[in-house]
Amino acid sequence: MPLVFRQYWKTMIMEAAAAVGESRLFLVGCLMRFVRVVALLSIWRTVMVGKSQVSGMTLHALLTYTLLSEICADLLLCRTGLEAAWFSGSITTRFLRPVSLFNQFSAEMLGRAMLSVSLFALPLALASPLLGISLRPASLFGGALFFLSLAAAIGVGLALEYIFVGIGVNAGIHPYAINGMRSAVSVVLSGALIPLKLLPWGIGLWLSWLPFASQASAPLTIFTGTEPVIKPFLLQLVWLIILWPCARWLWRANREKMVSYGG
Amino acid sequence: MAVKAGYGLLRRIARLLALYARMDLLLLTRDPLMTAGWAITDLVINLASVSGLLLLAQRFAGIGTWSRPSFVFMLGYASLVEGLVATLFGYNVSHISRRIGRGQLDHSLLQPQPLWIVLLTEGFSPAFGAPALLPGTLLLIWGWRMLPQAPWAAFRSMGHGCGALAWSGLFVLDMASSVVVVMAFQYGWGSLAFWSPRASEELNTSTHDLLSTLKSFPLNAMSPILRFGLLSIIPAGFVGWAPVAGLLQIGHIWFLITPAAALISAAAAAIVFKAGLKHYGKTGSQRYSAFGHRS
Repeated sequence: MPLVFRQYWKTMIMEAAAAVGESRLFLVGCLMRFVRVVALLSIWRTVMVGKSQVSGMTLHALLTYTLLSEICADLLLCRTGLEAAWFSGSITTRFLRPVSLFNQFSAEMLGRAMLSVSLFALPLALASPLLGISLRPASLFGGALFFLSLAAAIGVGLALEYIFVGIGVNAGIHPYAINGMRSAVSVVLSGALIPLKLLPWGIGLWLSWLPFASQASAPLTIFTGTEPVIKPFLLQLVWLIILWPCARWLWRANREKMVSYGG
Repeated sequence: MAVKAGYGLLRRIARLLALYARMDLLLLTRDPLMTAGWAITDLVINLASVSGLLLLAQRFAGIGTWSRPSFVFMLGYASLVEGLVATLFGYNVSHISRRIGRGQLDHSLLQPQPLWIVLLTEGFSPAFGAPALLPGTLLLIWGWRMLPQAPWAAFRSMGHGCGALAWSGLFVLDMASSVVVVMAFQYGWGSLAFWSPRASEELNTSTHDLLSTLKSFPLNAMSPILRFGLLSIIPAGFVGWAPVAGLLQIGHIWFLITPAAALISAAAAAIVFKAGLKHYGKTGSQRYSAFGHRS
């Protein structure tokens, strides 16, 4: 394996091992997530009683959407821990390492996601028939495009992560506030929890144009076939082209203004 | 003699609460920009935590057997419980695993007063917590105003005034009980940090997030196994669904079920916490070892 990949691979392994190294309590965390999924699915089954479809979404599409969202949650939410490292001051040691700061945090996030996929997402996907859900894409093309769209969603999510922190550093906003705003905005506006089409007053239509929708809603709608597959994917590409230069510029312009608070 | 001692203790607790409230206010008002930032962030976080279900209730004119007004009332109730926990037990008192894992419990143990008084008073943060109380309060009022009849309709046999008074008393009792349930849940799982500081901190974050997500889910339509789980191991049902169903007489919920759950869960959490503290007495904090958690 070339050195450039090996160093990030090792970072991913270290991050994954750190989460499981101390005790087996992490398994309880996986179990809790499973309970959350079952509860979310039961909500959809409750609100869809007596309805064949709502805003073009059938119960089956809704359940598949939610299950897939939970399976890919760590990748769709894209939380690198950048603001936590800034808050605790541990970011200073990251600056000293001879690798890109962006890539370090991205590798750490992927390491945690790798663990989550093996211990939670994969078992959940295998258990989907037991939950009465078939994890089949609406079309073969949609299924194939889903993986590309997922990669684009991670790209958009990472760019948003660095933009949020860049703005926070520039404006002197506390990392806790940045973290809270990012989580709140991502969950509500991205369509990760509730499909945007189901939001009242047609606000989902407007939200689907925002970058947050490209972070979660796009791959999920492509897989479930609840939107024409090309539009959300093209929108993701547009946002990638716009957001990454902004993220790099914001970071370059502000990183020397960073003040850490200590552990 | 006992009455005098009890009065003295209450005065001491009141003095400590006033002291911590002043310190909280001083911390927040150091910088107007920071104050505004905190207030807006907390408001957005608390609104976001209920906005998903609120929008769904709007879209579907309620959730299952819950009409829109009663569901909004439940969202307000659950959000207010979360706001009260943030206000009364801030500064990681409610996230006790963080204090234990990071060695900060020693700061509390060193104080010349019982640990329970420290934990009861040290997290009082009315200034930081105020924005967290706002969404819940507004939703509660909104839901109340939309209800087709006064929520104490079931207590009418006691007379209008007495019924309203009894319902209000029950509301306060239920609200306090829900706060106790949340704290007991946090301390039950958080006490595992005495044995596994890092893993428990991660787990406690998951348990807190889970409770926060599921706090306003109506449990009526869930399978009996899931409902049992959400009223025991993860007692999210006692943060919104059970008390509000009892208060609004939706279904056949015993109106004292939440206070009963609070007593049981507090006793269970106290047993785990005491066992952990005993273990801690032998091992101390891992933070102060060469490779300790967050050293």
